[in-house]
Amino acid sequence: MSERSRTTRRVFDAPRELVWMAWTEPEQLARWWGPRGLTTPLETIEVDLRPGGVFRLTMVSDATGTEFPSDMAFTQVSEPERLVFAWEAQRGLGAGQVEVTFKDLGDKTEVTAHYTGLATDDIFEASGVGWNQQLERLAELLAQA
Amino acid sequence: MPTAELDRTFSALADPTRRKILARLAEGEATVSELAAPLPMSLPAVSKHLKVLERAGLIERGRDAQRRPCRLRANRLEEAAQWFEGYRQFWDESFDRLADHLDEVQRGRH
Repeated sequence: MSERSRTTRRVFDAPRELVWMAWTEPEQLARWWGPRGLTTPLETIEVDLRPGGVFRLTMVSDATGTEFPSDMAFTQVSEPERLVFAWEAQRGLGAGQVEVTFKDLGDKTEVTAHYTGLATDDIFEASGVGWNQQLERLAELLAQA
Repeated sequence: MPTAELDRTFSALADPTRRKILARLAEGEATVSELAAPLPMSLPAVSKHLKVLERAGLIERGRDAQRRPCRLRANRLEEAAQWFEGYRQFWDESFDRLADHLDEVQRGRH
């Protein structure tokens, strides 16, 4: 399987050192990591900020209490501009890595999270417009059933 | 859903012919020959695709030995769609929360 990737980029209204700290200090990660509806308790977060160091955390569903542990490791730590962490295949998630870059824009910081999937990369091929439309259509039909 | 099953589901969905078959089945059950009719391929080729879809948990075959009609298994497709959406959601929503968090941190500083 070939590698597939996906990039999310956003400019944050904060200087780079602050953004870097938000990504690397457990107390801060606990405040924002994960999608809405999931909380990442501080006591589940382990950050050993060096290449080969562990990056572990567990997201907990606010609604059901279901736990989603992530067992990752840093592969690159270049303060304050680059952070790379990777994981083996686990709980429905193929092996992959995320490369996070922090670009200094003065008072602001551009953060880019570049995801590379190594095992379930077919999903990205399937994510083209045609696939989305077909799947949406299927989902609509299914919802009516 | 275990990783291996999810992998099978997504590699099954990655093929355009198989997605056509699923779209057809979303309209109702169909036999292999009915599914093959609009497709530019042989019956055995279509059967092969159906086996992949069946292994991926996306369709099931009827017991009727003669016709063995294919039916969509809606649950699996929904799980797959949810998982896919989850990827996008994870970063979009994490970044929303990070932006709020950074605002708070900076307000605390002033």
